Amino acid sequence: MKYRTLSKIADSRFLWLLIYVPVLAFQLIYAGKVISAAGDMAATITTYFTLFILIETGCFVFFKLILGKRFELEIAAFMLSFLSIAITASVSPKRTLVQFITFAAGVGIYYAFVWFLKNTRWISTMRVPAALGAVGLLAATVALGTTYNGARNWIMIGDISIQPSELAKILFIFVGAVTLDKLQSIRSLSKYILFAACCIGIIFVMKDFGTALIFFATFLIISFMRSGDIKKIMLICGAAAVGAVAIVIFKPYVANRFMTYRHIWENMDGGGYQQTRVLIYSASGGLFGVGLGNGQLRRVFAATEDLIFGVLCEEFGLIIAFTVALTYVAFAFYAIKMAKTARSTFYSIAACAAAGLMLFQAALNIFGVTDLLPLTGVTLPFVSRGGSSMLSSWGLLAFLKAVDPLTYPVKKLSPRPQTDAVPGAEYADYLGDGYDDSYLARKAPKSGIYISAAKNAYASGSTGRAQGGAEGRTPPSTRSKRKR
Amino acid sequence: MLLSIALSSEMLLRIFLLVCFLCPLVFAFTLMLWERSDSPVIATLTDKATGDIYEISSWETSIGRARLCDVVLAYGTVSRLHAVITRRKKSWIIFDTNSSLGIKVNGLIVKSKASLYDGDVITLGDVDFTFSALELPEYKNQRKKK
Repeated sequence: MKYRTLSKIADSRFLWLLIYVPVLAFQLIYAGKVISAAGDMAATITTYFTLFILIETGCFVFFKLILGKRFELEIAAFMLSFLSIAITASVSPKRTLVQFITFAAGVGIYYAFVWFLKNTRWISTMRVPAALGAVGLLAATVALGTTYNGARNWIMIGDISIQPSELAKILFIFVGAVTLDKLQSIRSLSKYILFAACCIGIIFVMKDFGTALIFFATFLIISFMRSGDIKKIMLICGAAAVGAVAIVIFKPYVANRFMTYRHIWENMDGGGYQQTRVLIYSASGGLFGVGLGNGQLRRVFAATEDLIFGVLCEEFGLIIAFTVALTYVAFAFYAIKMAKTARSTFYSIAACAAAGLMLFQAALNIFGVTDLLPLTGVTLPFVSRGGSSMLSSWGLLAFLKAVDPLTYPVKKLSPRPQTDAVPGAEYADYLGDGYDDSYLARKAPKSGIYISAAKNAYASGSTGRAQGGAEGRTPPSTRSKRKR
Repeated sequence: MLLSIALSSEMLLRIFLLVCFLCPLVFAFTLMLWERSDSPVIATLTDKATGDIYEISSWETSIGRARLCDVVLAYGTVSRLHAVITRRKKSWIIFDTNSSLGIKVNGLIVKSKASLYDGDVITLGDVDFTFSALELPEYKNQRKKK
């Protein structure tokens, strides 16, 4: 199929309207099933589903039908989020409120973040605060956090638990990605390595090894994209492997957490209880599933969090479960493809890191519950129950949206300013749009000479060389912003 | 018989729901992964000495002597990672990325960055280039849609 034909299809509002019909059908039928089994919570659950569909339809109508923006990423995310809310409402109806609220907040954060990311100048300004924020969040977790299942990963505010490391993922990527001019100017990775070591070290102190591994994988992706040096990456991996071996030798309790790995059937009623039940019940679901609400795995501890993939396999079927897994792969390929045409290296690096993080996290979750890897207790993005995880997933999706050059409109180039040359300026150090001469006063030690020379030139109405100075380049809006 | 009808209708419903789930996602995956066309040329640099034209098709373009740069200049006076030309919202900007001999725009030394306009002469090291900015195709499409 030719590109132009596919492009017309992608932009066809009528076709998208047709595609949205099965989305609604799927969601309405499953919502009906959950509501019919909800008992006395039926009215509440109905409200949540109604609001969910209203939010989703509102976004679809506004962004796709009215504005004509691309909607592929959002439709995938909405489908996965619906699965999360449906399973949560079916298994733990009382916890649906938090899941729905964080979904709605996540959508808001997503669109707000996409809007924020349009300006690379804002991004540059916020990098240092973001770095401090990430370290601060993780340090606060160590200081104020509650230990749960061996990891000190949650901060309790009343009845609400927050997992700051999930939000720190967004900041971690935000700090690591840079524009090309910064990439070429600051060739050394040492500051970023220090920042990453700080974050990963704190997470290790929290004993959340799954999240530490995710941060490390993201750090590798960002480092490779920034340096392009595979040897450096292999050196870092080697050092990390040595560190991991040292930890296992000197801190045996770390290794004890992985004792049941590859021995789950010998500990079916002990350490391998969850993984064995996932494997048994996933298989019983077959290709089409046993139906939402009819599964057995939902009775196992952490069914809606760590074991959610098993619940998908059992109740929705293997085809839907694998399609969910393929979604993360699709995100990764999408990021790699779009990175070549992105408007800035920042978007390329951030998108690849975000997609890589989601894919790696999904792999850790899926392979962990199926005993291909040790169980690390990480969530499945968008699908696992967990407010922080939902917020973080939508936040990471914003990086994937920003990498598409069609996300942001193109402005016409400003014409060359028609102003006289200002004497006394030896530099042309100004920004083309939004010039502010106070910027010069802050940045250049000779600005006093520049501005006074400019004043004299303006007052006398003369142009040309200043005494002893090189010919200056005129800022575009000097006449309107010149100090008087 | 009633039970078999009920079971088969339940299976039909699950298959229907499966199709409803797969169709939008497969459609989304196809659009996400289908190859888009190459980026069009949005600016050019013309070597004033030799007349060579270097096409710029990305919003951020690195210029230097190193082979990893987007525009590779085989001049000894050009640093390995000499400059970056970036398209911002409404203007082009050239950044000096720690080059040895610096950058000039229309004869003026650039300390860290400067705006570029169509027709400007950029001097990298001691080599002069003429910068030409073209209107972006996406802008033309936006105007057509309006």
